[in-house]
Amino acid sequence: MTDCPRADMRDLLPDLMHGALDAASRAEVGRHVTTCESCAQELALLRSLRDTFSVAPAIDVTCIAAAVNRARNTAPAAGHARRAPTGWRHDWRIAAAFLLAALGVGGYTLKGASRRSTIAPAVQVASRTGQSMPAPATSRPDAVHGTPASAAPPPAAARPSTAGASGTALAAPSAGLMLSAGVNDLPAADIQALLDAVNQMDAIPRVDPAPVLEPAGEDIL
Amino acid sequence: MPEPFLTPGEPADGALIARWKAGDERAASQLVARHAAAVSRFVASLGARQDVEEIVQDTFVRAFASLEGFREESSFRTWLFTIARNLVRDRSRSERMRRVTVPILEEHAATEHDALDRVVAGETEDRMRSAVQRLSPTQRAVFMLRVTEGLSYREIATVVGSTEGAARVHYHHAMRAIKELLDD
Repeated sequence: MTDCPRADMRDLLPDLMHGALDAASRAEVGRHVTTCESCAQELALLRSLRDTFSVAPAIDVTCIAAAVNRARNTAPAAGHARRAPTGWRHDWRIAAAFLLAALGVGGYTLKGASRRSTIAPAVQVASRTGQSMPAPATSRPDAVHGTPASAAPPPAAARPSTAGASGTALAAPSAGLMLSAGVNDLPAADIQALLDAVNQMDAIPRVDPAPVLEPAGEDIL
Repeated sequence: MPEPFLTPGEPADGALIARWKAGDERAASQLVARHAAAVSRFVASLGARQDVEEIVQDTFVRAFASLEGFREESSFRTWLFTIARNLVRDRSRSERMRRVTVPILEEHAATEHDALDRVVAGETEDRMRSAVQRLSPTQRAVFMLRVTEGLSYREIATVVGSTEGAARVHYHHAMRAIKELLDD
């Protein structure tokens, strides 16, 4: 079956079939169809297709109308009914909320653990450098977690005066930050070192913590 | 916008909608009776044979529930077609998602074939249905709205969310594909 080159005529064949053309257009298209075999065949095909698909599946109109009126009389229930088909969207939102909550709790727990165990990497660093025990995070939790210090800045006399002491003092918050970021982010060697430090926590003699100081104006984050 | 499906003396859709808003529940019955067949035919042509009645009912419930937002820029029937198409599309998506985890049972496939076989009434009709089913979802929607419902390209564009020109192109591509499939 070939196509008629008059696309404008072919465009109007469904309208001719449905009686949707005005008198002038109907006469023009009708004349064309009588002289164009392609359009006549296409119009016959359109009629066959319309007849084939014209049978509507049986539905209960009364039931649908009742459902419409019932939905209006019970507006909140209708609202729920409208949302039902797209309920899966809410499901993933709930799942996402649970995931975020779990991450939040996990992060908080990890931070708490890091706050309690910051002394271990600090001791480890101190033992490597052979210097005196630096301050644990318990004296300055805001330094460990990177929050701005709310307390008044320490007096200048209390600041470390040597480069070694300063470097040691910075080591503790760094270890704490790494823990807060997530153990999975650490290289294997560091994880092993942390595990060793945790294992040796009971073996290491506890020392009184000295205050941890950080360079003035430096944000550890 | 003309409503060619009205017989003389019948109230127009707009009048029935106003009556329903005023509390006349019979107006809903008239509107449903007027458009339900076309909507169900359209839903079935989109391939949702199993849940036609459910989708049609959901279409009307949603349409009436949101009549406040209906500006009558298109006809009520075009608006119903738009809602129905969106429902069929949403359902198809969710069914595709379910298929990932729930395998289709053999008896379900057989039932679907049986239902199709019951609808098909002859070889010619069978070939026509097969040809239409091979169209893309958008082509099929455009073609069926044009051929079985007699919608204009502008109305079709509203239903499928495209431009008038794109609807025209979809129709002609569909027509060519059907001719080729029938000529094979």
